[in-house]
Amino acid sequence: MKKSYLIIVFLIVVYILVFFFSFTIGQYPISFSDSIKVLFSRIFPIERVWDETFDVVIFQARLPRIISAMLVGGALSIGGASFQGIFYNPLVEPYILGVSSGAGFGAAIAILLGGNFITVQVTSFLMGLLSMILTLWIGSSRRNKSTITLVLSGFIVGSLFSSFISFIKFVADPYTKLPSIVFWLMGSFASVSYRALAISAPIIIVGSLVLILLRWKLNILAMGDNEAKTLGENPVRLRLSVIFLTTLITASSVSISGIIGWVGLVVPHIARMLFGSDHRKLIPASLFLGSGYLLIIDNLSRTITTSELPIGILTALIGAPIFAFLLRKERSGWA
Amino acid sequence: MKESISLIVEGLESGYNGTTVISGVKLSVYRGEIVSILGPNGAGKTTLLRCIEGTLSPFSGNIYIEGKELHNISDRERGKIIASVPQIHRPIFPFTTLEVVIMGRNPYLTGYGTPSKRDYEIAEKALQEVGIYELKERYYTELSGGELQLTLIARALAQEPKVILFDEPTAHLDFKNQLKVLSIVRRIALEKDISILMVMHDPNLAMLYSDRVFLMEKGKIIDSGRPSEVITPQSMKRLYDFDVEIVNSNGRCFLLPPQNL
Repeated sequence: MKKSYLIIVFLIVVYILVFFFSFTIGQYPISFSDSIKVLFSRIFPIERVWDETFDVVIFQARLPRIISAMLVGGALSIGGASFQGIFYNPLVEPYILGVSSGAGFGAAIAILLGGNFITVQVTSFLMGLLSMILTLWIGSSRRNKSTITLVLSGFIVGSLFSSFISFIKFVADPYTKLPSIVFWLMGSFASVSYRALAISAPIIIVGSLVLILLRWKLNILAMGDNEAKTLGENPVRLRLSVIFLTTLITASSVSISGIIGWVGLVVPHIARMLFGSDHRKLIPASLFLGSGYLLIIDNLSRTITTSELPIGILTALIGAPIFAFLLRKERSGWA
Repeated sequence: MKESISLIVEGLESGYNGTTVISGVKLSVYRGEIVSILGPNGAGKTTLLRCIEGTLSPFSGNIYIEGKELHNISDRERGKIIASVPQIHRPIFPFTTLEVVIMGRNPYLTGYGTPSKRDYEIAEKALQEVGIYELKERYYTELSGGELQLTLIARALAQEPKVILFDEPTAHLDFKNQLKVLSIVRRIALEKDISILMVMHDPNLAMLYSDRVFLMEKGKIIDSGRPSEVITPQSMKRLYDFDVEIVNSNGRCFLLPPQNL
């Protein structure tokens, strides 16, 4: 009990430091103390001795980016933890089940056809849902419903939608549309705006809150359908609600920042090691850790190389080895 | 005999994908009574149990528990009166033992509710009743087969049900744990007045631990009654196609397989 409180306090302190530190990262140099002053000048009467540029950089460039990274990280992680619970399968997350690629395809179509941000949001949600249905349909047709079957179905659907995306890139105008589609698909927070956030953020926040409310039910569902039923729950209805919510927040994340994989696998795994499997703790912990995790990754993507590194590269670099580790560790128990 | 009937099944017909597995099943179980179902593989024992626990829909027939018709009540209401201990449970996530047992309180939680302090008291009491309170903080993925079975029984107790169903409660258990689990089952029935309906594979254990026995063959119940009346060389020959000898030792009967096996 004591130990986990210490961990929580420690994590919160680190989180706050990372949050404020993030404002100092970028091409335009602003010191830690200056960035804090600029931030708090909007709330407290602090004498403004700094350059106008500071305000622009902090509030127009860095703040929306930091908020987006936190929102998307939290959404992808809570989505991963929820999927793992409802499919009683620690190897799944929206990206692995093909939802992210489906949503990415939907968004790419909208960009190609010159749609506005709302169109991007809607088509990416619909395509995300379609890909989820396909994955479940392929996965359920086999009699032997093992852990790996669902992962393989997700792989098939993900590949299918990735090839659709490649086709879109092929037909997109190489000077106007293609660069934005390509860069956005690799995952990036470089071009987020408050306008995009104004639509996506409420969806992600409300969706995540409902998932937090359902956290106890996820425990019941993680016992398997038959046992959930004998424990007084309707597993089918509950699973459909969670799939709907998770697809919704995943699609919103994709339309903010493109396809960012593996976060939903890595973060719940870390949360489970720190706080255990009980979804009452796991779901809020994943949200919290995920938002911090992606903020750190985004900071890295801004600093590792001189030009900005697409964030999807970094998350895959960390996620793939952890997936391999999970697969090897648990090999005996499943399949 | 006993005062009141807890579970009634009438004219039950069910199966999978339109194929009938059990038909015309009629039975009743009294409060606090332990009833075993014996029969060869494929006789429809598990199918019958699944209809009662609510994970399989009957084609026709009625099931009443404590006067309520099962078909008409919600999953939540059913979870308050019937609990089920599954034959196989494969732990996936490392929940602690207490976290598993507290899940038995789910039918009593409304909306987005989570367990209260009182729910925890009930769950801890259930752990004490099956004698594994000291395991409450342990990961249930690391428990032995016997401890896992006791955890699932504690979860069923936390549901505070009127009826508990067991599908082969002694499968996968060693001799000591078989007797331990069945003794606990008997104590539950006796002390808490909970009715027990269990599918059994070992006629000897059914003989020792049941108040009544139902014999099932090809989807039908062919006989029922007190163990010593129902488990006979003739009925065992019919169910399992073996000649057995029944030996009486100080009033307790048990089966021996044929000598020229």
